[in-house]
Amino acid sequence: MTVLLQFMLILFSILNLVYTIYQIRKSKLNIDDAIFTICFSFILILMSVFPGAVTLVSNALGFYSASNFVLVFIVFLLIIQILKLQTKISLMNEKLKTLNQVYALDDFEKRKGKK
Amino acid sequence: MKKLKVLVVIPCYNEEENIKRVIKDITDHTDYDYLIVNDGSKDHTLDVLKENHFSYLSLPVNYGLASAVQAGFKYAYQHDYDVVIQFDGDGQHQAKYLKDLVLEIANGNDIVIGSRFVYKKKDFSLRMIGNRLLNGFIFLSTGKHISDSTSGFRAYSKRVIPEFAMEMNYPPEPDSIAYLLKRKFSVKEVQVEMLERTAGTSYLTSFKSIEYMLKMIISILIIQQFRRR
Repeated sequence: MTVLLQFMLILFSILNLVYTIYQIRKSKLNIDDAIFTICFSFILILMSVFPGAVTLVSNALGFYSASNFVLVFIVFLLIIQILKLQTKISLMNEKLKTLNQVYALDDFEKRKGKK
Repeated sequence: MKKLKVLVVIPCYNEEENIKRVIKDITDHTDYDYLIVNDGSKDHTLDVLKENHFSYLSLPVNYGLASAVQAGFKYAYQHDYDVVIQFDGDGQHQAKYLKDLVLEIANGNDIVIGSRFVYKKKDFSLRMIGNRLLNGFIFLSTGKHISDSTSGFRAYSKRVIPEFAMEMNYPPEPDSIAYLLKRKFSVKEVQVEMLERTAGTSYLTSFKSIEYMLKMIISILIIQQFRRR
């Protein structure tokens, strides 16, 4: 891993952390949803602080270079997160749809009661 | 002393076998108002609530414990209650201790936790090791000792009801306790006994509990440090 890559990973992780915590302070983000970002940032910081360990794993897995491994690793984590978000959005859509229908049905009953 | 207006909030999800007994326990031991919050149960909980003419809110969609309890807080806020007590719908909590919690609120505490371990020792089951870990992290972060942070049997005073009712990121969980401790609210613990659940299933399954621990640790150690005081 080059020093520039290490530096960039640390910088972006810290920016990421600061932004996430700022959002929580402003009550714009749920703590539940921030856990991934925080873990992700810490993993990246760890990887850039211990490049030796990253090179070791990368060699063991047969990557050409440690930076390739870092890239693949990040993509892998992001794919997992997308899958989780995808499920979550579907579920939320379903809940919203149900709420919408329940509201309309209740409204109908109420109007019928008034007549 | 003015009599405090107390609301016992009972979140429940699929508790058709337990809820009747829980309400009987509360009405036998106290004259407090209660409100059941049915969190979109898939069994016949709602039918049981209707048949028995219990006082309840019924959420049409299952949204989790935090949401159900918050609905109770909103009701309490709108109806100007002085104390909200969170009470499990599965029969683990005993109503005979409700008065002890209210008494400590009347003594000026902001939050009173019904703790299993004020005097009693914990065993070394996984659950209790997790409990110790969280208590330890709360001590690290706030310098205050809490013996049973995961207890779901808690009383909240009027000073904190509006925040729990309206604000984001106020789940009824150990991390909120840590946050309130950091903001110099007073938290008191009262010794209670809890029973084993007799029917139905818990909110917390084994895989979920690992996720839960991770979330709580990150929240208490990192996130709560940077929240507004």
